[in-house]
Formats: sequence, structure tokens, C-alpha cells
Amino acid sequence: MGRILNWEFRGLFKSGKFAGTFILMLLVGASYIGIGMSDGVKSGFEGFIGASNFVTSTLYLAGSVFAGVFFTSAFQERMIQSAVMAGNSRFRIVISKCIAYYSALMIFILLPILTATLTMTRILGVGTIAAGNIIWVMLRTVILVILVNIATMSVCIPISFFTKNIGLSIGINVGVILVWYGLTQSFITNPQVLKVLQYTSMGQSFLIFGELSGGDVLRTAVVSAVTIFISIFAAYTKFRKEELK
Amino acid sequence: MSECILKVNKLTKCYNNVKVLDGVSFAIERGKIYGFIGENGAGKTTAIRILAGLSAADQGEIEILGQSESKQLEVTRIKIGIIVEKPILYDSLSAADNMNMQCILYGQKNADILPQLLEKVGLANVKKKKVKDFSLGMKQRLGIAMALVQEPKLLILDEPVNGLDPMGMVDIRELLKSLNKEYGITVIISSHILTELYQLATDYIIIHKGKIMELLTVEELNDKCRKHIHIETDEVEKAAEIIRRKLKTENYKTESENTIELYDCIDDVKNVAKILFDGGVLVTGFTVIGENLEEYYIDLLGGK
Repeated sequence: MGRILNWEFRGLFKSGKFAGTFILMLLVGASYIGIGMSDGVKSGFEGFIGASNFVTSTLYLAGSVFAGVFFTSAFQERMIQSAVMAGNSRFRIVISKCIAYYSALMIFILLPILTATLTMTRILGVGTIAAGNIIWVMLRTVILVILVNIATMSVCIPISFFTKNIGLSIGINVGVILVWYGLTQSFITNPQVLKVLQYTSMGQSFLIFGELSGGDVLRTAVVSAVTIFISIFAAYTKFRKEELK
Repeated sequence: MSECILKVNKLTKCYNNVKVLDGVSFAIERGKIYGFIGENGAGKTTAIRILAGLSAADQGEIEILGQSESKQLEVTRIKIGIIVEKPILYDSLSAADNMNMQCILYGQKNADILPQLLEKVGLANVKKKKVKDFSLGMKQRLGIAMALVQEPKLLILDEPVNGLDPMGMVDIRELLKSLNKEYGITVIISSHILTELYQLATDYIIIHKGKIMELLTVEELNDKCRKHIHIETDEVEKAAEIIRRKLKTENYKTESENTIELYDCIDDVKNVAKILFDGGVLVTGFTVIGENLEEYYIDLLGGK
């Protein structure tokens, strides 16, 4: 597994698609510093919460495009075929591809949040919160932001494995994610619909910034893990017996 | 008989109810160069894709380096080098970076092998050049170098000379010959450029419409083609005596009072001519005659 993971990560970090998305997310973080300051953010902590929210919509757009390119180009450039011919099982190939994708997403999420938070903390100070340890709250929040967002972006994996065409894959990924995001945003305030939405990773992405009990955190973790599992399972099921050109 | 390193038994594959492979069986012996011959659509690439693990057979078994169980086969593929249709390269990376990536993928930790292989395929001087700026021939040579990073016992190449200019074809041919001779690597090379295969292969697998038509060695082919050296001289008896004594063969026929047909030493015509000349025989005509692989293949397929 180490061999193919190493190969995947080398390929990822040397690719233009990763570099391009990295720069875009860095600019998102930098732009939030200006937006946040002009919106009256008073501390690094408020900047952290604002940046964590702000990054989501850009991530959905950029991440959907990245997923389409990352997975489908692996088929079209025949890198998946190369991995098969090097004696790797198809299960390992899917898992290593997903680990590389999730790692890239984590970087894309953390980069703007860290850029904005560190800059605003340096300018405004870290700030205070009503209850609890500020570092612990920030750490918990960032972990949950990463978890729910990579779970949400997981749905792009099976879509890309099924379409295997860059343009089509990007189109469907962006469409599905943005419609899902729009519908969730519209109905999240409806208590009846919320009962359903809380069991989706997209719904969780709206809920993790409020007061959270231990049960809420557990629900977020379980919902995200199930979404990730289903997405990888669907992709593997499609891929395991597939004819490769 | 040499050690068998790959066996294919009754391989069958259908696409949309059309049999692309129909009970294909053959065995590959270590140390030889096999020409896998067939027209476009004959089933060559499908067979190679099944061997590479890119496609699954509907029926039949394959055995690679003694392994036939599917999980073991998966792992064993690391020991063979395969190029299907064209090499898989990172266009935006240099030749050296592509080789590095391949070493990582195959777990090759011996760093010395990279310069050696690039030197072997004649790309050492352009190792820092990006692959997107390479010619087709250079890409093929880099692909072969990449297929060698794990020091494979078997190299399977699907149409490696397609689209190459004559010099490019010669380069690949000489490279494969030297890999076979120096490192003992068994080679399977599929192509429909038969003149090229004839100069390279020691054995042939002829496939047509998904079925194996014939398996034969180059000696059997030459025999079937009745390939021979046609020698014209006024001193037939003296020439025959020299052939028997110096070339140690009885495999010749005196066709008339001034012609001999020699069925041995066809790959060494220069030596035959020299021996006759040194023996004081005045040779007035000296020609290699016979069907070539292309003509034999067309005849085999019914003169199509």
C-alpha cells in the first residue's frame, strides 16, 4: 500500500490541477482577510469562524472541478492502468486515489482558514469566547469543518468513476454539489426538513458552527463516515470489474 | 525444452456477443522473442490487455511465472513489463522524473538503475527534457526503459513500432535484441509490420479473428518458406564438398550442373560467401530466395 500511496502523492503534488486549486484557495483566504476586516470582524477567533464559513462555498465549486479532473484524468491519462499493470489490486488503487483526494481537500480547506486566521490574529489578537478553551473550540471546529466537507465532496468520487469524461464529470459534480448546497441552505431553517438534513453531510456543514453537544459531534462524525464509506464503496463497485482501455 | 514463463489456455473474450478471442492457447518459453502477429482486430491487444490485468477473460486461464490464481497473478504482474498500445507517461515531467515515478510505483530502490536504463535506451543526454517535447520514437524508448525498472523477466509490447520512422524502428529493434541477448529478457512483441518482426523474432504466434492460426519458430518458418541460398557456380561438386566440410551441413540440394540450394546458414550469408571464396570456388550467382513472413502470413490466411 505504501508504494502506491507514495506514487499517488508524488503525482498529486507534481500536478498542475493541484497547484492551480492550491493558488485559488490561497487567494480565497487572502481575500477573506479584506472582506472580514471590512465586515467588522474584531478578533482572530471571529476571523476563524468567518473564514471557515466563507471557504465552504468556494471549496464546493473548486473541489467539484478538482475532483472531476483528478479522477477522470487518471483514467484518460491511463495512470490507473499503470497502477493495475504494476501489480496493485483495484481495491488498493481506489483507496489510495481517495486518500490522495481527501488529503488535497484537507489542504484546500486548511490553507485559506489558516491564512485568514493567522493574519487576523496577528492584527486583531485571538479574542475570547463565552465558555471553554478557545484553542480546543477552534481545533474541534476545524476538524468538523474538514470532516463534513470532505464527506460532502465524496459524492464527486462515484460520479467521476461513472462518467470518466472530464467535462461531463465536472458538470455533474458542480451541478450536484451546488443544487444540494442550495436546497440545504433554503430548507435548513425549516424544523421538519432539518430532521432529515441533519443526517446529511451537507446539512451538518450548516450545523457545526452552533452550540454542539457530545451527541451532535458524534452524529456529525457518523454521518460523515457513512457518506465517505458509501461513496468509496459505490466507486469501487463500479471499478472492480471494469474494462480499462 | 526451455522453462515456460507464461501460459495462456483456452482464453475466450466476447464484446457485445462478438467473440474477440476464441479459445486462444499458447506458451512462452524463457529467453525467446515472440512475434505476435495478426491484422487489426485479430485479438492481439485484447489478449495483451487480459495479460496486463486491464480486462478479464470470459473463459480460460493464464499462468504468469507459475502463478495462475487471480490474487497471485495480480501481484506477479509487478515482475513483468508491459506497454499496451502506447507508453503511459507524464507529459509535463522530464524523462528522469518519469523514471523516478515508475521506480516509486514498482518499489525499485536501486537508484543506479535509472541512469543505466536511460543510457541503454539512448536518452541519457535528454533526461531533463520534458516528455511533451519528445518525438514518438523517444517516447517509445522511454516507455521501454520504464517497463524495465523492475528488472522484469518478461517484456510484453503492443505495437511498439507503430507510427515510427524507419530509423526509429531500427532503434527499437536493436534495443529489444540487446535486451534479449544481454539480460535474457523474454519479449513478446505484437505488430502487423511483419518485415520488422521477421528481423527480430525467434518465434511467431499468428492470430486471426480471435483464433490462433499457427505457432512456429523462425527455423520452422524458414523451412516452410523453403528459404535457401541459391548458389550458381561451374564447380558444383567442389562447392558441395566445401559446404559439407566447412559449414558442416548436408542440408543442401544440387539442383542442376551449376546450381546448389543451401537450406542452412541463411542468417550468415556473408560467411558462406567467404568460405566458398576462400575455397577457391568461382561463384557466379549468390541469392537468398524464398517466401518471407509477410507472404507466408498472407498464404496462411488464404491469400487475402
